Amino acid sequence: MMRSPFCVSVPALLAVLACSPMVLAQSSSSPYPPGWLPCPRCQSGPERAASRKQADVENRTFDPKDIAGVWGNNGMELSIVPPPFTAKGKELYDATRADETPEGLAISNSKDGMLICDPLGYPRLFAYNYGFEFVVLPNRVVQFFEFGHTWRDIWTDGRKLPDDPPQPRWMGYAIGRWEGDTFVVESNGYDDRSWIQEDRRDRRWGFPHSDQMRVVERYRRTSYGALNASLTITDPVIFKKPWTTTGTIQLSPGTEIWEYMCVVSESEAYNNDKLRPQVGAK
Amino acid sequence: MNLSRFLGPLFALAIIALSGAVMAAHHSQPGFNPNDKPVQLKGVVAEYRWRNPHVLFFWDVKDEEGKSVRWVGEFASISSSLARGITKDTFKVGDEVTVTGRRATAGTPIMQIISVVKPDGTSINGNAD
Repeated sequence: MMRSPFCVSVPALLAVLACSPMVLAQSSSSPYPPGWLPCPRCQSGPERAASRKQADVENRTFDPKDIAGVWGNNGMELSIVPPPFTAKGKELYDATRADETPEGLAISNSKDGMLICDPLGYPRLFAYNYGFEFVVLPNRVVQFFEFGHTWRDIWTDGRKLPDDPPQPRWMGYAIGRWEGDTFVVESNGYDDRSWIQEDRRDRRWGFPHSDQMRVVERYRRTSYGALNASLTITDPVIFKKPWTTTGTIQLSPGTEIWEYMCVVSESEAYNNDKLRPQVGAK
Repeated sequence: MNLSRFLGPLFALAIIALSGAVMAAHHSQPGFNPNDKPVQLKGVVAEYRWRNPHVLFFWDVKDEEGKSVRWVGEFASISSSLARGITKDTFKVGDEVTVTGRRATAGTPIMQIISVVKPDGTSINGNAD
C-alpha cells in the first residue's frame, strides 16, 4: 500500500475540498514516492497546516538551544524601507536599474545576477531561499539552502572573524555563539558582486553592498515550531545607518530540502523564450 | 466623526496592497497591462518545459489566416507549481487546450496565463509567482 507523505486531517482535507477543488483533483496522485517528503515550498497552505498540526508544533516540548531542522519555505524578506544611502551607496544603487526597451518597459530586473545564475550570496539567501535547514555539528552549524542548493558554515569553535579576509566570499565568513537562548551569528568578508535583495518597492532596482558589509543575526527558538529572527546589516560605504529586519521563521515539519539548482542554460532559455520577448526585447 | 473607523480599513488596504507587491514573482513581469481584457486562445500544446526558474508552456494557435503561431506562457517555479497541484505530467504535447490570459503589450506572442483548460475540463491556474 502506498503511504502518503502527508498525514492530512479530515477537517483539513474538507477545507481543501471546499476551497480548492481544482488543486485537490490534481493532488489525488501524490508526485512524491513513498518515504520521500515534499520540499518546504512544495506544500500548499492546507498541506503545510496539516504537517504542522501533525507535528504538534504549538504544544510540543523543545530545547531552545536546539535549532536543528527545516525552517521556512521562502525566506524572510527584509524590512521594505532601507536606511538612507551614502553618496556612494546611491551611485551604486542607481547603477542597478534594469535596462529598458525604447518604449520604457523594464527588461525584467536585467542587472540582477540571479538571471544568469550568479550566486545569490548572503544575506540575500536569508531573504529568499525556498527554505533552509540548520544542521548542528560539534564545531559549526551548517545552514543548507534549497535555492542554489548551497550552504554556509557558521563556525562555533571559537575562531574570530578575519580582519583581512584572504578572499571575499559570496557567503561571507561566519561565526556563531550562544548568548543565553539566542544563537548569534556574525559575519563579514562578503563579495560585493551580490545584492542584498531586490528593491521590492520597484523591482527594477536592487540593493548593493560593499566588501565592508557586516551582518549580525540573532535566532531564538520560542516554541517547537517558531524561530524569532533578526538580521542587521551594517555597511558604512552604502548606508548611513544599520538596516535591521525582525520576524519569525516557521518550522517546516514533514518536509526536506530539495534541489533548486540555478542552471545557466535553463535560465538563459527562460530569459530568451519568455522574459525578453514579453517586453519586445531581442 | 471618528476618523479611525475609516482610517483603519484604509490602512489595512494599504498593507494588503503592499503585501501584494512584496509577494510578487521573483522575476519581475513587466509588459502586461492588468487592465487589459483577458482573451481566450485555443490551441495545441507544443512544449511543456518542466524547468526552473519558471515552468514554461508553449502552445500553437492558428491565426486568422490559418497560420500556426507559437505562444508562450508560464507557471510558477517547479516547487510552487507542485504546491498548486501542477506536476510534470499535467500537460502532454498534443493536448488541446484553451488558454485564458492577457497578451503582452509589446504585441509578441507571449501571454500572462490566467488559466488553462485541458481536454477533460480541468482548469489549471496560471499564477506565476
